[in-house]
Amino acid sequence: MAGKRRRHRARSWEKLDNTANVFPVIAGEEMSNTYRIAAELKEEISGTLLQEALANTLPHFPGFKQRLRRGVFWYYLEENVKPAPKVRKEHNYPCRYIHESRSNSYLFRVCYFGCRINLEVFHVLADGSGGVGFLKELCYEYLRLSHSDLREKVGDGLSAGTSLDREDSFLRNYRKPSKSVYKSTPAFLIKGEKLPGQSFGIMHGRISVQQIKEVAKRYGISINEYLVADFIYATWKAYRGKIRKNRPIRVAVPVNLRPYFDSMTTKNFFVMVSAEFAPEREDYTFEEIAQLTAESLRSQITKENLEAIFSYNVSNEQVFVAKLVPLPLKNAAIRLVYMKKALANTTTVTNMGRIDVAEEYKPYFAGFHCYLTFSAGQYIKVGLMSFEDILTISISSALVDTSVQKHFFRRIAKDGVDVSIETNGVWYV
Amino acid sequence: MEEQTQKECVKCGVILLDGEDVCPLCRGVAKNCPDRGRVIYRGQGYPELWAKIRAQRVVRRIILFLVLAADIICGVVNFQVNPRSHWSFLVFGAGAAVFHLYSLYVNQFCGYLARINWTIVDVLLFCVLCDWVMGFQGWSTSFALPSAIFCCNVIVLLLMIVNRRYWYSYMLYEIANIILSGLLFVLVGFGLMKQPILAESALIISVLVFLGTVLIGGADARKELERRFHI
Repeated sequence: MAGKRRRHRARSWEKLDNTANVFPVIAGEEMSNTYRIAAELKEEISGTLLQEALANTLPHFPGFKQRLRRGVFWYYLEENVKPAPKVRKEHNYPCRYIHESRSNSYLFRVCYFGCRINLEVFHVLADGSGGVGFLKELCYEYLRLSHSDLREKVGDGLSAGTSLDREDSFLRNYRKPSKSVYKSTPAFLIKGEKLPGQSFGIMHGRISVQQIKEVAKRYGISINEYLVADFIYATWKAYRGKIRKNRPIRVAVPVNLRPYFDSMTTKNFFVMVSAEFAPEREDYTFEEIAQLTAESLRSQITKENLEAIFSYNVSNEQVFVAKLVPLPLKNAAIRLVYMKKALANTTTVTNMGRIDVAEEYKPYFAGFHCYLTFSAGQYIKVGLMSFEDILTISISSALVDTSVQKHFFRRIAKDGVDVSIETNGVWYV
Repeated sequence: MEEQTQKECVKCGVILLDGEDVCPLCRGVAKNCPDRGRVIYRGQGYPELWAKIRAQRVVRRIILFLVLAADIICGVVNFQVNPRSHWSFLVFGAGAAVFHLYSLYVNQFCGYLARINWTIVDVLLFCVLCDWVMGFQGWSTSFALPSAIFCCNVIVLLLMIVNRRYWYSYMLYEIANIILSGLLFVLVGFGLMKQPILAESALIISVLVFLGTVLIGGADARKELERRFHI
């Protein structure tokens, strides 16, 4: 009877949040808008157990148990009742496009390689914070399945603190329309010969959190500010002759809004601020760039400014006439605006911060990392994630040239931090 | 556990864990680095993919070459033997359609609906080409177009049966079929379609399929329309 009742229950559905409206429009094979979060365990991953863990975990996460649908005026998410997507051994480049009618119509992908579990999420579902919550629970379930003693010790179910909230925090916290605070003048873009065959280049630099903390402290800035400044410095060193004041290096930095607006949502809830460097003379020291970057970021990361940024975005969506525009026309307009705004940034540096895992599971984890796929004009992007004392800097790139990465890591090494580099091999082909 | 290679690039001042002799940052030769203390963590690495991708691309290029070669040979033979006839255009059209459909069917990012729709469009275009080569009798617009709409309605019904869990998902395609059937009357107006009865039949069938779905589907169908038309 209960089963029959379930079958006849209407499928739940939800509107996309303000940021998510953009992703289905611009996503494609060239620009997949997916991100990868990976957990490395201290044991070889079994595909069968991981599949079972996914099947057990997914029903607890309604936010991930969805499929993307196309309405006449808007896209929307609808409950997906198909079985969990197939877990595969990693057999392709990371962050490939997640097609809405593949993988049982799920908008995420789980694969494994060696001791690593990869979760790739189409950004329409959730931002990094939402993805991390799901990946951690998936790993916990996997560990409980592979270690019966652990299951006996901690029991089943989700761990305390995991959020399942699907509130649209943009709408909830939207107060009044605001003027555009986005910089839309074109930025310097890193261009060059592309890697063959739509390859996805990934370079991980692993460093000690303690060491980099001391270095950043020496400059009087935070780790995040230091690394953003280092990217600007590396770009400037690599393309010094081509960077002009009217085409500054502009690094987009996503800011997680949850701490500012007391939200626990697993939907997207972030805005972009940008650190800008418009050189006015020929020579700059790293110290100068570091100070300029820190000042630029600090002036923007205030609750008022962040609210103004997302209020402007939400107010555009709230115009009634705009709501009535059919989806194909809306898509064309969104694509145009997006392309203009995307070219206003040289790159994106996303810092997902420090990952904490529950004490009982800690001995089984070795590390975490994250990275983003490229987007229009941004062929190099940086993802930062730390676990215990390991900070993994992951630089994804579509370009053959690695001079930005070279100057970036050389600077860190020059500041006295031990750096170990690992790539996915595309630069050796 | 097997001891893994560890190198150092003296110029960049970094440890390299890929086991290659060259630094990926500066392309300089790396030297062996026995100091394991400087590596805080070694990752899992990545699968080797380039050979597989290269093989797929070669197959695609071979098919493209074969299609082009057939087109050129047929074009030359057509021109030499009977320049008044344009039958080689049919070979060209068929080749283009085959290559296009091959690309769609091997593309893992192409959904089944896109494949079905493009197959119908390619077949229709080929019909129009055949009609043109044979002196444009108008059968491609008079018969093939309404037949395609009948075909679309049958496909929608079949998809509803196959994908029973989400049978209501195809309602927007039913609406699209009604709109396309309506467009047939434009062709009738321009004299491109000589059999208005077929346009009327296509419209009636499309409307009946949609009405049947709404009435038989009941609340589920209405909810689907609410979702699809939400503002």
